[in-house]
Amino acid sequence: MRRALAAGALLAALWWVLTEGAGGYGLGALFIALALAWVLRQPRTGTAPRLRGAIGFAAFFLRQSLLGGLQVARLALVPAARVRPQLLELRLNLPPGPATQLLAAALNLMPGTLCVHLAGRRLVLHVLDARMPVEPEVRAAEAQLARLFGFTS
Amino acid sequence: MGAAEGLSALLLLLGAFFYLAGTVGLLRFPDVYARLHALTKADNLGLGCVAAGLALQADSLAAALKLVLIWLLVLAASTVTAQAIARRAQELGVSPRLDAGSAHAVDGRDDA
Repeated sequence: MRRALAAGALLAALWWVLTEGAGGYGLGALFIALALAWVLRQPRTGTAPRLRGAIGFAAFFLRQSLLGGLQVARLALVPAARVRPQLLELRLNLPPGPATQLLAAALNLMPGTLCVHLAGRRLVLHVLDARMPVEPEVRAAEAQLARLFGFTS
Repeated sequence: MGAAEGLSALLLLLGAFFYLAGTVGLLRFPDVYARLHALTKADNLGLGCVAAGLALQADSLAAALKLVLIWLLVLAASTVTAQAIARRAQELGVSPRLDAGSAHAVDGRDDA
């Protein structure tokens, strides 16, 4: 029931944003009901996302996005700068599923990491600059997602 | 020109700068993997700046949030595409150009 209410409220907010507050709620109700029916048929995975975890993850993601963009801009524009690519294989602590997939997707947008392979808990990253401390950042992102999904360790 | 308009113009220029940097990276970086870094990271920040700059000029809160939504949807598409290209390149045996000083082989495939 809580899941249905939360999903319904999110979908209604999404409709409001898509229509820029112009209304059309008759049509909106139809699409919200259809989307809600689809959402509720999806299998449950772990626990519901935590609001506090989501805010923490959003702040972390924004900061890392800024650093990632700045790093690429520096490596691309400074004439003497050179990429030092490296592959890094990690064993994840998160259980395989949506959490690991979201982690890989987020790492692609964070400084110097690109996921080239993800199977179960095994993650292979392409690292743009081997001099950067990548593993601590991956572990920090992993901890953020563990809080978001409620896997507190 | 008001403070909001000035900040908006600054963010739009910053966004254009990061797009340019990403494009230079795309041309300059050595292989497909490094080039994907340039596209995903610089475009994430570039579009984020552009969307934030435009959101400051938006007529309503809903219109501003719509720009944030566009940013998030483009991010989702960009990260999934980058990962798909990187994974396929790895499967096809395109080996990344690694830094000579620190190279040690890690095989990305399971059944090598």
